[in-house]
Amino acid sequence: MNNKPKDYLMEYRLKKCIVYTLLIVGLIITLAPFFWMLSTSLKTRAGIFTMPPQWIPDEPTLMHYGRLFDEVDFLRSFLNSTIVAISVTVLGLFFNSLAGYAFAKYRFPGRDRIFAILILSLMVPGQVTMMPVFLILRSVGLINTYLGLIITGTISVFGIFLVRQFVQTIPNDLIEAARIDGCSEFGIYLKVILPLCKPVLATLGIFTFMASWNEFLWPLIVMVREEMYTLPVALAALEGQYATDYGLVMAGAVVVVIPVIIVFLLAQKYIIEGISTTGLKG
Amino acid sequence: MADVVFENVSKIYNGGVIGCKDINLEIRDKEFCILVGPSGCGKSTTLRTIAGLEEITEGNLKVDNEIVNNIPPKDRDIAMVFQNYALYPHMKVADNMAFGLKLRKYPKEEINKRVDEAARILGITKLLDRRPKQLSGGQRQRVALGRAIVRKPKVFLFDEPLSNLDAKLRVQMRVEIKKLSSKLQTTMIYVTHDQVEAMTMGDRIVVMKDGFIQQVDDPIKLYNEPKNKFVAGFIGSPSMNFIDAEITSESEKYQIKGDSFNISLNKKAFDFLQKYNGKNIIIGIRPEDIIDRVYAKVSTSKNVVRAEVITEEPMGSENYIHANIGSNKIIMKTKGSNRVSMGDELELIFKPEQLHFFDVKTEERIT
Ligand SMILES: Nc1ncnc2c1ncn2[C@@H]1O[C@H](COP(=O)(O)OP(=O)(O)O)[C@@H](O)[C@H]1O
Ligand SMILES: [Mg+2]
Repeated sequence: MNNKPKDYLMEYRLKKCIVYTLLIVGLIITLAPFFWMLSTSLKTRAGIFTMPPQWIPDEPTLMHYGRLFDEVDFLRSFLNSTIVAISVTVLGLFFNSLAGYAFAKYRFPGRDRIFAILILSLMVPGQVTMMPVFLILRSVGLINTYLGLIITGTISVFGIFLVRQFVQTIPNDLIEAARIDGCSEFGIYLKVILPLCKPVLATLGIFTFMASWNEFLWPLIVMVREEMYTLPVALAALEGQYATDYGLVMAGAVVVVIPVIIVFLLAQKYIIEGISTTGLKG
Repeated sequence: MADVVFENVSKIYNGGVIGCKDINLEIRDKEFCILVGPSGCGKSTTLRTIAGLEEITEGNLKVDNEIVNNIPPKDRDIAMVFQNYALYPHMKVADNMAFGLKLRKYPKEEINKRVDEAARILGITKLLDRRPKQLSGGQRQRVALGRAIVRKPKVFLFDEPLSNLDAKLRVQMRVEIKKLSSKLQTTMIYVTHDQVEAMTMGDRIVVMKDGFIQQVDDPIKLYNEPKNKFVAGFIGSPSMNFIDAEITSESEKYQIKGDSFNISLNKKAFDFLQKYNGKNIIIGIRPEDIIDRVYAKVSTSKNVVRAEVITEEPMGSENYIHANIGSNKIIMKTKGSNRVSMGDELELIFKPEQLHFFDVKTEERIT
């Protein structure tokens, strides 16, 4: 018989150890490609192909980054991406929150049916609508324009849904109080609903920005001329032109990823808040 | 100066649900008018039509002799206090109070002056920089009141403003709102489901049921002369006792006969019972109008009703005794020192001048 009392503290520590080990392994697996990307972008041409591969380059160089802006016009692509992503995010937040608010709080004929149809449209894969939308854009002359990308990227059913769910938790009394206090209907949206929606708008804004920034296929179709390329498209083009110039491609990839990481780090707090915010009671 | 007049106002919601129906009511300038009734009787609906938050289906609503049916809430110059306060969570207390004035483009000095004054009246000056989240329920309610006061509106509307407060605070705020109303001299319309609140606060009380107005009167009239069985039972606590009985005539007297009791009443004093001779009626008697003959040392044994004690609810100053008269259950209110125990036989006397009579079918008061 084993009469020794069970060592709960020991068991607890052991469990913790296992959990942390697993997490660390997962972290390494996730981060390794990023690190490899960064490391490769800093290697000389020769360094890229040395055997065994180096994790930390012997002679780090910024050469590839310089070439990004000298040999190809990566700056222009960066600008294109920035314009499109910021416009899509700002306009998207505005229109989607407006629609979400309306679906949550206004009564109008067919409201729930229209909303159901919108939700159903989420089931349709984007590739299916790409060609028709492209044809429409072409017929109105929006191919190769910022506007073409922005218009098609702005309205998001998911965004409307997200805002609607959140606004439904805002008590009606608050809206009615504002109405009595003298707000116009748009004023209620602007001065009461929007400020209260901050957490959900932060979440939605980050998702929208990242999705727009990373989008590849659609900009590839809409932006035909090279100077209108967004970053992911330009990055892909690098591969095409300089088939094995890994240093250049990796430097491009780093440039694409950095803004997303910065935005995410800055907004991380709000995302978590937005996901965990439960109503506004009290 | 603002009176509020309802002319045949009805509000029918989608799907035919009756919000309120055929409301005819004249609320005078500077009056403290209370809408009271059980949950779902249409009090809020009626109040919200005044605010313009509900569109009227039929009839006319006049504020200050002007038909306001189609005027949006923001142009009606009324303020409303909600049950759950409805303070804007993202604004400080001062901004909450100033919001309505800012929207109406008042000059800054005027806004500050009014906010400070209202805060002083309500004792919330120290809270002006806080956010609603950092306030207790009672403080929030004060801020909500302040937000209404600064507007200096034509009409104040209150929708169960004290329901979320604890009992003690409720009594305190009741007194304060009453004081406020006499100070502000503005028309106030106040919704509550609590008849005690209604009785203690209102100049005039509107009792509602199922969307219809049952009676409009001042508290004492309402208490003494309820128009029907519903009002009689709703106003007063504990509720009025109702007992089925039959009236017969006997020379100088009417005999009121019920299950194991018999009361004779002077024909002259109760001549209005004439047309119910030989018929069934409902008699009503308030718990405080029933006398324990032995305890009160009343010598007469005329009109004594025998009852058997079920239980008692001693409150200290008074004692509620539940008893059976034949098959009828009644409650009587007596002094705290009048203690009884289950099964005791009581000899009760109903104060004859405090008896109420109701028609069995219509449940209307017989007068
Ligand atoms: N927006 C609405 N849509 C449909 N029916 C409603 C609505 N608001 C209230 N009602 C109905 O109208 C009746 C009166 O409601 P209300 O005025 O809120 O009662 P009270 O405030 O006296 O409790 C109730 O039967 C309620 O279900
Ligand atoms: Mg109500």
